[in-house]
Amino acid sequence: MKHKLIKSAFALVGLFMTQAAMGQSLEDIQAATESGPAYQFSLATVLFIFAIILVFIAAGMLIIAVHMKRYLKGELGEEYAKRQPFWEKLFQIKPISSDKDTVINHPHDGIYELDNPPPPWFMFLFYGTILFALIYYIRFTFTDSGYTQAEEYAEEMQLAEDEKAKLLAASGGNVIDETNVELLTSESDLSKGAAIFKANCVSCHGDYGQGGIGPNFTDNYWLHGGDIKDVFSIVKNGSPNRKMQSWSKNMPPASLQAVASYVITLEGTKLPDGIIGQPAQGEPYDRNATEAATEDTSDEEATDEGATDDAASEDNTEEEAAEE
Amino acid sequence: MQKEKFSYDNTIVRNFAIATMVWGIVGMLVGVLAATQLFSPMMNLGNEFTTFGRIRPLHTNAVIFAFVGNAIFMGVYYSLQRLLKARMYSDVLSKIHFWGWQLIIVAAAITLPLGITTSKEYAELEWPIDIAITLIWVVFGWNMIGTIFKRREKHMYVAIWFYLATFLTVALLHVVNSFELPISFLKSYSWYAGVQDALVQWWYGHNAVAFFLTTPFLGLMYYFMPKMANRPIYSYKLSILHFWSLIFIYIWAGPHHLLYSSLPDWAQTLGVVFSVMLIAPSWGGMLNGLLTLRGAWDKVRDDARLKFMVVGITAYGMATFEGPMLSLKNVNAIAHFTDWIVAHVHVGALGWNGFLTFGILYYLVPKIYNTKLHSKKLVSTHFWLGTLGIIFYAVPMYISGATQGLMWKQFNAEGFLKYDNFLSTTLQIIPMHMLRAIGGFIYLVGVIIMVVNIYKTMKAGSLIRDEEAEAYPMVKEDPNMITASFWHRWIEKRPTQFLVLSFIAVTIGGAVEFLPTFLVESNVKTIESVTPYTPLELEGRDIYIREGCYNCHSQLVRPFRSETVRYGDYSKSGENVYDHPFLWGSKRTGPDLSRGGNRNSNTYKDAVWHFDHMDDPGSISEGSIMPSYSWLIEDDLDDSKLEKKISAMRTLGVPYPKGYEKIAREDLEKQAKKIQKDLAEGDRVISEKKEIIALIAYLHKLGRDIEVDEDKK
Repeated sequence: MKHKLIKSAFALVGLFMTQAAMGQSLEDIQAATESGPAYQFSLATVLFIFAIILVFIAAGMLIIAVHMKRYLKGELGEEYAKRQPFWEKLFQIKPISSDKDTVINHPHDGIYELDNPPPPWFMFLFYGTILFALIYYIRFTFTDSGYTQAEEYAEEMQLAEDEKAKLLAASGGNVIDETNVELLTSESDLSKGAAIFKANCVSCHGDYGQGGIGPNFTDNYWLHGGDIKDVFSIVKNGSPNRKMQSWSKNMPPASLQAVASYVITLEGTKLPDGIIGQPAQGEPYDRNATEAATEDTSDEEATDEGATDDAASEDNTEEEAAEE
Repeated sequence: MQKEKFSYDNTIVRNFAIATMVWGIVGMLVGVLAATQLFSPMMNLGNEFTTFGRIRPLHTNAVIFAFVGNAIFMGVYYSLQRLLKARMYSDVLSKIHFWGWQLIIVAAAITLPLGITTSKEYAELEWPIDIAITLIWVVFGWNMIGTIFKRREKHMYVAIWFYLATFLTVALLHVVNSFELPISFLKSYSWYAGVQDALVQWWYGHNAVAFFLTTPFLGLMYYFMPKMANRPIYSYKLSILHFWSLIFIYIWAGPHHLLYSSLPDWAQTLGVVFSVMLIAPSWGGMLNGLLTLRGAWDKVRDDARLKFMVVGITAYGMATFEGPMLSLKNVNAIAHFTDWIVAHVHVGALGWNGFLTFGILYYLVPKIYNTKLHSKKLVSTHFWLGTLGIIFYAVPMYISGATQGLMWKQFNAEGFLKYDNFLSTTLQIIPMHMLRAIGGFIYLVGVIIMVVNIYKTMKAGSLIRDEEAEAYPMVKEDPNMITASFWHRWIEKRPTQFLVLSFIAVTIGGAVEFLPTFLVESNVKTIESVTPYTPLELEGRDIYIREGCYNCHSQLVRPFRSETVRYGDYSKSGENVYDHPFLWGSKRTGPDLSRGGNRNSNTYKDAVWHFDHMDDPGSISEGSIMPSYSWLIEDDLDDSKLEKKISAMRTLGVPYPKGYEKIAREDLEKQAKKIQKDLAEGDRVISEKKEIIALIAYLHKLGRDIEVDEDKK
């Protein structure tokens, strides 16, 4: 009885210790990954796994306990031990009664050996794996029906290309790139951009965009131009010197657009007390002046191209103005 | 005929038993420390000597060569004398063997935390220690074979076959894999480069598992299991079949550690098929062990020592089934580089090697001390703690491995990596790492209970240093004695022929794999744009080796879309032709670095990033478990051996121009100044002599030569 108590107490302590340790880490992890991609770790999963392990242990112990009880009651005496258990029959093991016929009468330090043959299923396994090995090796090394790892890779990449083409077709061939990207201003787009910024950019550009390894976004100086097209291009392709990496392999253009737009909103924001921004780098960028200039050029282009486009671009400008 | 009187040497058995327990606790303690480091970087203790990169090799070496090694010698010295009816060949050799081995372990325990390492897994010790290992191993073999020649028992029992194969093959593995060119007392470069080095290393690594952790323990099982259960071995035929097939097949399977690498396809496929063929030979050992208990299962109920043996052998059976499954390429694609492999080896180490060792200790210590175990109850407690420990270690690690392996491969509907930030996959498995540390700790508590129990047992009895025994001198075997006589009965009485045949069996596989890889040029296709390391990069590489970066970062991009998108172009053998030694790694606790200098890769980071990241990884990657390497910023680079390093590399075939070693330092300084300038532009002002500069130079070399190639396209 006392024994059992100690055992269960031990199990409980273990359980709580684990939970306490996990509770601690959970907070850290959630803090680190908040609003990042959906990889938050769930406590429920771990508890579930923990519970499964405990169930398995409990089941094992139960089986042992039942057996133990029968043993103590005398139901499993020596007679029982000498009987051939069902699993020995199942695995085609020779019964103990045949031992006297197969024993090799030459002990080593008191250890005897029997001259039983290996179980037939074992020999099947032995020759079976050899046959498998032969076929496998011949197929993958000497025949065309096998493939090399380079071929396997090429096929995987081809599949990905096909998928990409399908996606492009489904979207009607509209792809946002540095030539046609526009500044997003809606709250939902910007909060999406903010989330991406937090998950990927803060390590170099700081929590508030104050800079660090990378430049400061809160001033109006830009190393590679401050227009949405410039910012989008840098996020997408990286900087020529690769101090800024390319993000085109990490997320779709819409996400790049959202984060680039968010970065532009940081311009002119006030940093909290105690946070010192990275000194200005690059050229100052006058957003109002440049926007006016861009409008001029786009108007000019539009005039060249035709009346319908011209009207559309005017609509856009009006909308933007209204939002402001 | 008169019986001869002689005595068994028990002192040497006792000595190895004590060493087993002492090093067992040390090794496992270091293991628990390393486990905690994988969820809390604080546990690296803020100094260079106890960072994970140096502690992990210390743990593996201590557990494999100190704990398991001493356990092997303990069991062999006990059983060999009794099976041969002879005292050990020479007490002096026994003593040299014992003290020599302990000194080697102490040397390992000192050099590894100091960062003195060759970087080759399970063979990290530097060349003077390698030579010492060779000498002591020869002493062991000499002593064993000497005893065999003066035996009183003509026929060699199956346990001895396994001991002989162990001696022979470990010697072969160790010597071939340790071919290295010394450049100073404690620094050398591997003789082989790149993919060839990888092949030799994993031929060694895989067969160290086979011939250091498996065959000697099968031998021990064949002696101690029937002794404890007092039952005959089930099948002599099975012993023969599984012994010869095991040693022949095992040696071929090394390439399964290099699946989807730049090792040629034909060699990888050999690794796959020979691994699959290993199931039956391995299970032969398990069967013979478990079936020895036929009719004695009631004893298992009462005797916790037998419980240890049964669970140990079952763990062996599970691990040797899992091994071949992991060698299938589609399973390996998910499991390789993850915690799954860690779980796999620990089922073997904790279950098979650990539990068998405990069972044997509980059996032979009371025997040589002529007393009874201090407490049977404590043996039972130890057994249950050990079993719980294994479960709480292995299950979370399997979950963790499968989780991370799948997360790395996950693409979203838009065709982008779902977990493009590597760190997110690490954070996901941290709770599993915590559970694993708890599992390891429970197991260690069990071992401490055992040591107390054994200590009290030793105190209660007194060591019979020279155990009296008697036996008839060697007599001929009765030819009619066995039901069927085979060729092997003949060879089992002739140790010399036996050794020769075993040697042939274990050399074929290695030779078939090595010779074409070394001699046929098409197996390592050269890439013109790949150039040797500059002096600064070479020094940086040595820092990378010293700090054990390869313990957590691979340098091998496999040909999967999920990897080429994440890291860059997949690895080709021609990239590593100047890599003495290769640094592919076997575990990806952090991201792959082989494209760290390729500016088309997302893993490229500029000098300022590396500077800040080495100083405090958590400041850049929140939640990162990488420890700080702030001393790289404080310490000056020791480039005093630069000339020797360049000359040594040239000897090994790296095409540095003649006399380059004389002007190498100029190039080193020039390159260092350039990186210093880059850092200064980002307001990180340090001297150009600091170690971090060399390391950044090295990281920026990785994959850079391939970048040139891409531009040409």
